[in-house]
Amino acid sequence: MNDKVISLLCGVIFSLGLVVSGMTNPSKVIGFLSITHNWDASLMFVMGGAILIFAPFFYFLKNKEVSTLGMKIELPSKQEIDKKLVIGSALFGVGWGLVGLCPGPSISALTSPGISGFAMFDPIILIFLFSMAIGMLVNQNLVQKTIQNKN
Amino acid sequence: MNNFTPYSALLGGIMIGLSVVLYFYTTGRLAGVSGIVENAITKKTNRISNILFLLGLVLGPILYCYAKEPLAIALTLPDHSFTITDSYPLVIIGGLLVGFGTRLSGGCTSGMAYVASADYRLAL
Repeated sequence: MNDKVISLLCGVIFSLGLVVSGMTNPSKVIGFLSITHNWDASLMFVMGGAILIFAPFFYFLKNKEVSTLGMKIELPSKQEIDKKLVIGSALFGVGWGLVGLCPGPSISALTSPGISGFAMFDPIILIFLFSMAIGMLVNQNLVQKTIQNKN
Repeated sequence: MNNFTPYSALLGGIMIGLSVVLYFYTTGRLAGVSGIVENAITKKTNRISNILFLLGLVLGPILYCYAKEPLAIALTLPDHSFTITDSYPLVIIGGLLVGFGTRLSGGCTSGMAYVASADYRLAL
């Protein structure tokens, strides 16, 4: 199996996890984020489950230099808590709270079961995805380049 | 607490964890979705793999829609089907903030919450 087949397979497994857990359901997410009003803490278990599986594997794998497909292990260097992290996370949080969609689930929500029980293909999700891509491009082309030029 | 669904959330989380492990074990890359989206749009390296991962994110729920009834009964999964009633401006502002914010900070929910905390990192 090459990395392309693996990527597709991992995307499928990841999205099944998102749908089963309720991460693709914006009202479930809003319920999780509303900690002061009728808090639905379920989605905390998503994070728990993922870390439960990933943490032990990562502990043993992180010091290897190449993956099983012979590709270089790419770990981002340790990041300090800086303005970019704090401001970026806060803005993300506002966007997540407004709509109830974050990057992975927003893509899977496109085909997640709607009220009919079948894939919804709601154009409003395409609008969200398009806006998200614009937000990423604005960050990369304006903000990150300005920061690089300053240094 | 209304609509509390810890078992399906844990099961979904385990599946996400398995996907991240398999992806990291084989490709050596961390499966943070915002990073994959940004790279798919702006970088030529691994573009096809990145696009295929995103295609997988779209295919998974379609498979789920067909397997839902028997699966949901066997595993007693709650019904997470939904509809979005938000206005267009709200969705556009939300999308812009999510895209801008995740890449400014360097990670979204999957990257920061699942991957970074597994490595006791504060950020990716």
